[in-house]
Amino acid sequence: MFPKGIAKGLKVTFKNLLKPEITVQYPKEKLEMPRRMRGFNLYLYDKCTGCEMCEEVCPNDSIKIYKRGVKKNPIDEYIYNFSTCTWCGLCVDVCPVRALQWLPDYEFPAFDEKELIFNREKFKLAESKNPEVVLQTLKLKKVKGSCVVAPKECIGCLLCKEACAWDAVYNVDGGSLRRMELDFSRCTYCGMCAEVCPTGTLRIEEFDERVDVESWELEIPEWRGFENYFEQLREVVIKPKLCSHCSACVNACPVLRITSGDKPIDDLKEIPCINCAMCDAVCPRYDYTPGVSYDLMSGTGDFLEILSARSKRFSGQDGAMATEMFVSAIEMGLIDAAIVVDRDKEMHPVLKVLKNPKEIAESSGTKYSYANVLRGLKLSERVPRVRKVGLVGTPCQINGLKKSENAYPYLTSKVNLRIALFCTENFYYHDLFESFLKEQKIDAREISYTDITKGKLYVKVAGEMRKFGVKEFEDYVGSGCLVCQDFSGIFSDVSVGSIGSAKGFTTLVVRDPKVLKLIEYMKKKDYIEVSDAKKKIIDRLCEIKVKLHPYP
Amino acid sequence: MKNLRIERLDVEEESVEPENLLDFVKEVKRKFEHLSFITATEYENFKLIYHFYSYEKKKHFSFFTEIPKENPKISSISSLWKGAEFLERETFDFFGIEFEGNPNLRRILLPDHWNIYPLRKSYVPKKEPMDWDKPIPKPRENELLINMGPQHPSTHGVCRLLVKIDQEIIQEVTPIIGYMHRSMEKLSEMDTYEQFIHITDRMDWLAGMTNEYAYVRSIEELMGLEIPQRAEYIRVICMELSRIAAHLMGIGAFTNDIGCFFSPLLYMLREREMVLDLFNLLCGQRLTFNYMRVGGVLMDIPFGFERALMNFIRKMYKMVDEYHDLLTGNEIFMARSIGTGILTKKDCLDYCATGPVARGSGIDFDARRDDSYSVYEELDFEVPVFKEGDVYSRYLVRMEEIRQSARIIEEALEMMPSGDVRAQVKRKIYPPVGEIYTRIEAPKGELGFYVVSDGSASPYRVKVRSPSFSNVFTLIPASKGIKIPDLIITFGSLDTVVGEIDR
Repeated sequence: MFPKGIAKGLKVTFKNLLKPEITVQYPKEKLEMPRRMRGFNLYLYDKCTGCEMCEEVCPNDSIKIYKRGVKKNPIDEYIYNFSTCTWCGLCVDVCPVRALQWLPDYEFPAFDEKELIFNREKFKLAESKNPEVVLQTLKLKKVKGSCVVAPKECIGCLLCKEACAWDAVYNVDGGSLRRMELDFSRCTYCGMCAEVCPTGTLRIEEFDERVDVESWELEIPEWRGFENYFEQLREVVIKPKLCSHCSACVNACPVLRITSGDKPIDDLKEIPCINCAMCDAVCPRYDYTPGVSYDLMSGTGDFLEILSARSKRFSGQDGAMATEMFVSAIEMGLIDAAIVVDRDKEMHPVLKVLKNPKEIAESSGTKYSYANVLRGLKLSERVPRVRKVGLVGTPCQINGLKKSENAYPYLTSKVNLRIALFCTENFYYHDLFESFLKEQKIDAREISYTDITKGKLYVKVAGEMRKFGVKEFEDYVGSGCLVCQDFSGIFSDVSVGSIGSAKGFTTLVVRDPKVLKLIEYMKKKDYIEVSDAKKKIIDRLCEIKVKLHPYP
Repeated sequence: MKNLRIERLDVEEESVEPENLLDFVKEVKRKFEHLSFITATEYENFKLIYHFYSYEKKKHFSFFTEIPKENPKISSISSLWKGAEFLERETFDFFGIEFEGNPNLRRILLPDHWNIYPLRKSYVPKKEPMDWDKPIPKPRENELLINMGPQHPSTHGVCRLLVKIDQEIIQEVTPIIGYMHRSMEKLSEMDTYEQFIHITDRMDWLAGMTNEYAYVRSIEELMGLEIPQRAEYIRVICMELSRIAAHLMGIGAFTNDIGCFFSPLLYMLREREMVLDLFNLLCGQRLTFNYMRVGGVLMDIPFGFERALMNFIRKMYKMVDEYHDLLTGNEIFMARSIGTGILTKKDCLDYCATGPVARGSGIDFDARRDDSYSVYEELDFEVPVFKEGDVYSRYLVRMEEIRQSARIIEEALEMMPSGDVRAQVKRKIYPPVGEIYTRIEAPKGELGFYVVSDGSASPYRVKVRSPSFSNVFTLIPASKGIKIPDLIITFGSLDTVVGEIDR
């Protein structure tokens, strides 16, 4: 047998024998390297602003910067150790002013490791050896750093001021006006301010170097001479017992120092206040004067439709419509997750951000104790792939949401469905469950159901239904509720409650067209049963609330 | 870590009591035939994670079980999957979890003389004294053991094969690994997310781009980022170039083993050099690129790159034909390789083999086509599958994959849109709290990263599911009853890279 395969292979060999040589005799001949080749890393002292970003980003500590103080351009010594460098290029990528440049030079081996440790003098020498490349890089005038893009979007949260190590961003306050300044003479273009900016006012962009000061102005609540803006909130709202515990300030605080929960709104002393005034600006009770908010916050408000409905899929308080709307909205793609309040064994309110319909259904039912629902917006940032959320809250929480949206739209930009609950009064957990029910000798762990209807509190304990009159628990009502006149949550997309419907049904006061679409969807899928609601009863309860809770 | 609420993002997941583990896994095996990996993470307890995949239903499944930190013990599943033995040994090596019923429970990557378990959070890296008194298992009497390696030209790196022979017939082969262990999983916990990318280049150094992409993708999925389309196309081009380079080297080294000493390899190296030059043009590096970034790639393709790439692709089609002329029909080559080192489909599933090794044994699966990622869904290509399971079919799979990769690059270059190459990502990355496992089809097989984030700047845990680690142990069934020169061919045909086995 003639080996055909081998003959074929030999043909290839002979064909290649006639082709020209492709190897290069290295020391005599040299290949031209591409411009991007990572060979020698040239450091240009004249361009460096001393922002220390390369030192921070280096994975194996090849870069060391020695300097006195933290002013611009004060570097005493710059050490670059090529013997530990892995040529990952993170430092070149991160440098805002292009003071580090790759040269396509691959011939700097040394017999001694110390020769590979470069300092300022050695880099100067290398600079003089490569004058063309240096000239080219110096011609690149543009720098990559923080730049003011949209001064109108600035909310004055002062996070940039906190982040800047060189005091290049700062604020000048005067009365109800704040001037923000970005001083380019101090700026090192490190871009840390743009990193922390929540609204995109400052962004990392390429631009020509500038030396002037850039400034812009915005309005803030007036300074009334207290220790800081949170103390001002305490004096104006919390101490006069106006606070509704809506926790809008908790959501707004950029440094997370305001706390809520089963106690009045308070601050953490260990975190310093940066005096940004955001807590004052979002508080719905801050300017609680007649004429400003009094007329707006009562009655049923504007609405598109009032109806009564019952969920066929879920069971909960009355018609379980809040649960049904959340689950259907997730199915429709209106929201990605729902911020709901669940309770633990002892009836403590627990805040949850849920994506799973099963979990949402488990958490249904009214809780009758203050929960910091707006804090859920902060929590939802930590849950991946949640771009739009729905939340359910009392009218005061919806008011807080509205005030936040008016003051700083970015705070509530995620919220796409707001459901308000009809509310007359609310309680602190420790007041209702620890003080009041303990006096009645009821163990919170045995409670399976709570409800307030027709002025009576129903509590189901170990299968036995007990009821209490209004006067019995009057003293335990939260102080903020005593000045509240909003019964239906007029700034919501839809208000829900048992009032105005037959037993087992929920009244819906629809205020937003997207909720009408949602109801249509639920009808089409046969998730709900619809009947008429009585508007008169709702109106009457609104009037009662205005009478019961006179404005201070 | 008490309040860490871990959310799995990609698969359906269940929690299992440790006592019922074996029965549960028996149930799982009926539905999911491929065991992807076993690993642990340390919280208050040890959380053991088992990940499975079904080739038929194309579905992932994962479950976890928690065991206490003190005296951690759990039953082994090595009776169900033989490959589980080595995955369990790796977990034992790093965490000290004892798998009861594992036939050979001792250290696999680290020295036997150590007393420490380095991936426990309580361990801080320092120079450890060796415990020389610790007994090491010795070979039984009346056995002739031959050590092949660690420094042997056919092991492609420092890997030792302990061969038990009867005259010239091989009775048993035990790959002994760990000579190149660089503790990448511990290193990842000390670096930030971006700083770890360049270390992944050093795993499978023949295909750095795929390693980088596999890691970057898991973080992007964790953060839910949207990547610009142009960046995705550039990534696909880079990965396929890497695949071509890796397969060229794999085939070249394999022909070296088979006895065509260095003449075919030089042909392959010539073309591989062109790929490396392309990478040099693209990002300035030839092997360790650090080109992928979370949210895109480092920079756009340079002027003249597309043209050079098109030239290369046109040449590559011709070159594959040339290789076929040179090798495929060669009578000596065929006589050596056909029918040698047979690996059945059952063996492949049993030892968790993936990639060209599995496709050479009739497992019709390619993650690019069946569990699509990036923009592979829009691209048209074929997956070569051969049923014979011998050395020759593995070689043919790789040859055909080179051609298909060239085809993918050609298509991708045509479809590549203009635009940004990097999404707006902050310089410091803080992924949300959660854990994720994503995998891609690397040149060697299923390359996956299991990343746990606790919301801080550096990963809480990174587990690399490396294809070579599982593939190297398929040598045990493949080499039973063959002769020593055939062992070398079989080992070469698996195309393992020691940097990826040991990490």
